[in-house]
Amino acid sequence: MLCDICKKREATIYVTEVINSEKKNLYICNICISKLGIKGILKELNIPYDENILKKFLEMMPGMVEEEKKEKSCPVCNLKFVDFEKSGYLGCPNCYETFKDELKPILLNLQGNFKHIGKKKGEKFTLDTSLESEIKRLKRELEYAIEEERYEDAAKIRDKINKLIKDDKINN
Amino acid sequence: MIKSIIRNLPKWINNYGIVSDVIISSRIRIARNIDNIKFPTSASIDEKKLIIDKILDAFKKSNLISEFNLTGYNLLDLNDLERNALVELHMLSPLFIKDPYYKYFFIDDDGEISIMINEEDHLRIQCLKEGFSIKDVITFIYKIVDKLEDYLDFSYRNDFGYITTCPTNLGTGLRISILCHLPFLNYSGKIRDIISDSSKFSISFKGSFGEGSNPVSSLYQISNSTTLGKSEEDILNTILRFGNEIIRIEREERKNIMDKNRSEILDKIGRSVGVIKYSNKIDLDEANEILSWLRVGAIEKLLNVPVNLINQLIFKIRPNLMKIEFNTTIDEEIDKLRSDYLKTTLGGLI
Repeated sequence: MLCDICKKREATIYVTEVINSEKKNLYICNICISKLGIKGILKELNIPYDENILKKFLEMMPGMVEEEKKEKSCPVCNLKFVDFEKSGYLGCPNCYETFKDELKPILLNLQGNFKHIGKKKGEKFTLDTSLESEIKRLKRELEYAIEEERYEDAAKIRDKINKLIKDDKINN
Repeated sequence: MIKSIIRNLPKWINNYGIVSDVIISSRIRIARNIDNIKFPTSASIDEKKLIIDKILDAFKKSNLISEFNLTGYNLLDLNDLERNALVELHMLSPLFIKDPYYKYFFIDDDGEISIMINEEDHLRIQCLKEGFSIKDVITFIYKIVDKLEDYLDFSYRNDFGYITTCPTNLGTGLRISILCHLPFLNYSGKIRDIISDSSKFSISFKGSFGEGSNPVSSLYQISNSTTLGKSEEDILNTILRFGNEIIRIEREERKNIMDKNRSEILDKIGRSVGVIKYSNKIDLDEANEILSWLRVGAIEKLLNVPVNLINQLIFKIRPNLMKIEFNTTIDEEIDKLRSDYLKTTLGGLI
């Protein structure tokens, strides 16, 4: 079943909702959910946002938050999950291990992602300004623009890439 | 040193940077925590002392203090006015000074680097420079962070990246922000569409120095809203791209409005000059608005005032900086003193 939002990718989440006494099946893919968040998905599909539907989504997503899990506490700092929900603060680094499943849907909503792809510990930060990396970066930007259907931007980025390649040839 | 920075302002406010007509300054901050110690928000007094000890030790061993001309302060060594003045100068955070116990910070001689210990995270390292200079700032700040990593065991996980007290900073712990002056997009109201669009690009767009999405100061803080699932370079590129776009559309709007509604803008600037010349009291909101129009006058060369003097005044007129300038603690006097100060500083120029 294709995703109701992008209509391109296979859906990974399936939610049934009754809207205006009509049963509706929603099929959403991981990418759309991470891009738009649950609120954004509902807005896109003109479905009113309420706690009930939010819960249904969360149940389908990894690391669902159940009532009993809220009472779970970190063995190192004793912070309860419900305390985190109130303050927004974790207690210690180990909390991320204790609550990793509960945090994933929260991170997906907050950050649109739950996987770090930045600099790894011990690596030194370098800003690669070489032409090759500039082109690589622009190509990634081009992909984003096409994915986000910003075709005017995409055309500009493509021209920029072509110009860089052309200039490089002239210079060499 | 700290007293002189407060009085004479940090370098990034005094200097006029590239494209500073639109982007006044660039700020980058990085959050880090030491592994196996509770976060400051739940640490005991002994644990907070331990955090300070470990970090100070790393600073000593790493040679960072002499390399970057840093001076360290216990927050308790500063009086309340000085603490609040440093918040007004964006060098300390409101949260950091809320409870002054077991807090320590470093500031460099130019007032560009500030490093807070026991803020929300064990370490908050930030660097500010004038203009749209985030590429320089990021390279600069990682010199400090990478060196510290040689001496401190930062908390890091392969899945979530660098660990932070609040999950909104998780992953890279990196927040890049630019302070923009957007009087024409604000005047035409186009700013509202840009703000509502910005969340699509993981950008946070907030009014600065004033409440709401339409601050009278026309100053906005633009920053990345997500820190996880993107590389440091991706985050940098997002802000670079968005910042360049903002410069382009603000300049375009400026040209449009100055062509079509010139007399309206001249009226706004003229009235602002009038208030400074003939009023006796100016509150903070009014001063923000006046300075915004004077800045327009300075950029358009309608007034013979240097733009960076206006930038300095934007900060100088904040209540705590005013109190320090005039050596007073009486709130009721501030509006009068602010009016006098603007009159004296701009007197011969407007």
